[in-house]
Amino acid sequence: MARDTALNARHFRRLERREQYIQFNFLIPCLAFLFLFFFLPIGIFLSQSLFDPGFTTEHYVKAFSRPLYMAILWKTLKLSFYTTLVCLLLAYPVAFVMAHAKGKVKLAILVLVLIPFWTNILVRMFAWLAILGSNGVINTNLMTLGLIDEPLHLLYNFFSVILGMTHYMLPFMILPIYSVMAAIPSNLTDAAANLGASPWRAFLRVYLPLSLPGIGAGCLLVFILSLGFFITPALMGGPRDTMFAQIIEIQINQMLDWGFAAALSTILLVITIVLYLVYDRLLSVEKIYGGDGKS
Amino acid sequence: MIEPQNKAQAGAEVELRSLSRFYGSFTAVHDVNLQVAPGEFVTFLGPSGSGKSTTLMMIAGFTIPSQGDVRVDGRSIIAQPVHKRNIGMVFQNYALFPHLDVARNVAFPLEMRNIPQAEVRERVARALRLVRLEEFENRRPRQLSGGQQQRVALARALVYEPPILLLDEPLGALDAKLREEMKFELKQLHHKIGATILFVTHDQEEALTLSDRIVVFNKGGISQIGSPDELYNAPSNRFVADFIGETNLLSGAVDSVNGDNCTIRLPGGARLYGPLRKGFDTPRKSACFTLRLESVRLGDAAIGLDNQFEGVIEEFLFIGNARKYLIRLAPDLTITARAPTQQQGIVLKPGTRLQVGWPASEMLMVESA
Amino acid sequence: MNMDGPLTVWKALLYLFVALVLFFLIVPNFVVVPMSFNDSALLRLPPDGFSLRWYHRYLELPGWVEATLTSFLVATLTAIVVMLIGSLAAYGLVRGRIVGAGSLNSLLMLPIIIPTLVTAIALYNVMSYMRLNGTILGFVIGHSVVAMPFAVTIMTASLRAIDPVVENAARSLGASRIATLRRVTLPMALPGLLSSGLFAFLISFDELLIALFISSPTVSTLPKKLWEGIRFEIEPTLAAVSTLLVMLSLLVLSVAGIIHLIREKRQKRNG
Ligand SMILES: Nc1ncnc2c1ncn2[C@@H]1O[C@H](COP(=O)(O)OP(=O)(O)O)[C@@H](O)[C@H]1O
Ligand SMILES: [Mg+2]
Repeated sequence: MARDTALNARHFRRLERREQYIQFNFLIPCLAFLFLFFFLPIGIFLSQSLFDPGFTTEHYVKAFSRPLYMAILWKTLKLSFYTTLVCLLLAYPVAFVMAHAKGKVKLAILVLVLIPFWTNILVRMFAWLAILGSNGVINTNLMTLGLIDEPLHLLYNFFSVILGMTHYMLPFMILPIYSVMAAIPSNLTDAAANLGASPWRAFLRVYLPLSLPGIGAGCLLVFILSLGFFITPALMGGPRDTMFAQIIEIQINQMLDWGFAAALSTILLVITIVLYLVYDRLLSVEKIYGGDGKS
Repeated sequence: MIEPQNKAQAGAEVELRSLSRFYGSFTAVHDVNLQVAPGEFVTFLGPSGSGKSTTLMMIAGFTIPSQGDVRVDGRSIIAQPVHKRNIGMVFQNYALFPHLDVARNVAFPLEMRNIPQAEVRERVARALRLVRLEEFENRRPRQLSGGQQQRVALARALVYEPPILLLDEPLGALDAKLREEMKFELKQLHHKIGATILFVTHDQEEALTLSDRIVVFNKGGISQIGSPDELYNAPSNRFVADFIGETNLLSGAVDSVNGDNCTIRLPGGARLYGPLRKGFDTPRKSACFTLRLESVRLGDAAIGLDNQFEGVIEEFLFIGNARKYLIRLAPDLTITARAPTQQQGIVLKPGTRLQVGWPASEMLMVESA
Repeated sequence: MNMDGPLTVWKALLYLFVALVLFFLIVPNFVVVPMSFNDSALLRLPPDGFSLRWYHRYLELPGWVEATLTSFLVATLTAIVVMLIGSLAAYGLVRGRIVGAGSLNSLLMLPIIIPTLVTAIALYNVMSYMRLNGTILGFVIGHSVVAMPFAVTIMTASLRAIDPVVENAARSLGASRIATLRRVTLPMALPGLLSSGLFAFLISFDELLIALFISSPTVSTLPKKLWEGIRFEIEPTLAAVSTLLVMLSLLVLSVAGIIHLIREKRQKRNG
């Protein structure tokens, strides 16, 4: 009997592994794929920031000491902040109405949010250019009506970048807030109202705090995505509105300075990943896409 | 009695040898030893969390034991993966395949065994006939009632004639009336198929009506093994006595021993006289007696018995043709008694004072643990 | 605010605000359609007259049709790759008792979080080394990286809805792990699998930055052509292409929606 157990101990562990950990194998193709074509390439690219070709900190010194790059980083942070703020102000009421609507209305709002979300960003950029351009819909119509003599300069400025970014990011704000609001019991604010709170106070004291995780997640997500955004600033921004991702692109395509591009990318990624870690604590990306919304 | 040769399949012998399962420092199942004869119907009975399902899952192969062995017909199956064990299993929520119709559900295990189409059709039809679901073969599971789904699950687990059938609380999700019907069907099926059945439940009623033998689980270990009759009439410990049937449990300090009998003093001072348990080592300080509800005599019938008290009725309940009384014997001692409704000569209302007594021989000493 | 009560001024204002925001969201989608059918060479609204000439130009101008076909091929292959690898990974995440599955999941989401521009530059580097620049395989690999997190997420949600006991039942009935996966899990997860494939297709079809970096002068995708067009000159052919892209998105969304509705109906009847 004793010999039996002694023999079996290793055996049991092997069986246990077979039963429990076999599923890990299913992850291997995905992990291998991402390692080979995502983590490894990014690692190689970023490591170039320290070699040119020998070890050097020159690129980082350049990035931090030249006022131009820090100014652009600051401007990018500002742009992301404004985009996040505008998105929040626009998204909160939409999420609120969507969370409290029923049946067809809810579905209609969801569809109206999802359609732009899943429409090619270039289509949307093209549309904004066609609407706001000097020969665009707004200017031609205003001139035909005789309200203005010269086209208004609606494009290629900080405002137009924020408009384009907001349009792109809005669904990323609405969906997390909505998914949190949808989980708030509807009778809670009623209960507060019964206890004598005015609707406004009930909202501030009960509803708003409960929806805070959604706000936090949405804001962080929009902020993170805005930081590294390239397409909209490139198409809708003016020469004075160059953003951080654009100077990275310029280093690659025009300056051919890979080391410096890598240094700038590293700075961008560090900020992004720190924010992502905060975000991950709040609400997983998965909940936002998987919980509600897509499909 | 149905002759063995009429049975569709033969049962297998199952043996559990010091089977244990730990989760970290938590012991879910501890040192379970059990021998089940071919064709026997054995029930695992115990409160929720007592390790019944874990034991069953170790037999099925979903959970790997931390120690011990599972043997079928003398051969260890511990190293066999689940799908090679050829054990039938019915789950509490049926676990039917929602994307297959009834016939395809039942055919599934046969297809996995590469049985020719014609034979599959024939055996599926036979299995569905066995559970009386012939007309439902083209329905999807969601179009069936709970009881019908349960029978599909049974047919699916029986169609490949496994020598062992495991059922984990199969009646738990059914309403009371259906549960009653299914109990009888299960019993009949068992006679027809002859497989060894291991049945898990936390319902003592189910266990008592269905089983050849009952294994009572408590805190991951076996508390007692016995036929329904043995467990009901001769529980070996306080836990089994409490769990099976309704009974009074009276425990106190051992006062004096007198041959095969002893006197114990209950908290509050009352003394009880009853038979010693075989093998009870007398130096022990405390003991516990069980007393069946119907052993308690009321009124004149109680006079002159070994244990006699004066009590006050506190509550009574009608239960069919009997009444149940809660009687206070001392400030902190109450017992429950059951008496036929037509008990002559006494008016039994709350507040009534009366004589209460029972013979020593009708008490049974059990292990306190 | 009591949303069921009578319409107050505040509530009316709220609805109006929400309607305006939704209008803002949807406007670009509906602006490009009339522009593409406009007879005029100017991008005006209201349109001057109906014409299909911009669609003819789309078919006639060099490169557009080829780019469209390339995009279709790449998106289809990407969808297949991502469905295969992503659903396996989702199965591992959902069914595996893996220590730190949460962190692993966060790691798998990184391609969404890290700026695609950086991913594109990094891939460009490696692709040049592997001589995959400007090849279909190169596009498929790049797009699979970006689409993977979406597919894993959709599949994870879909697999979570499957009761593991049903899989256990299959195994106790004699199905090996692989047979269980094929005969039980796969059919039950099919709606999720199809949606993940559809969305991976769309993500690949719309992807710009990676295509920008790893395409060659001869092989290019539709978004890359569109990008060059927008930078060069805003003209109605682009509106026609945009309209086609809008239609594609609507098509994919409706199919995904139908799949979703069918699944819900099934679940409702189940419960
Ligand atoms: N995978 C597991 N991890 C940790 N504890 C478990 C696991 N499975 C079961 N247990 C614990 O083991 C004990 C016995 O469980 P179980 O066998 O399901 O009881 P029963 O079926 O008798 O209700 C319970 O306390 C349960 O919490
Ligand atoms: Mg259980």
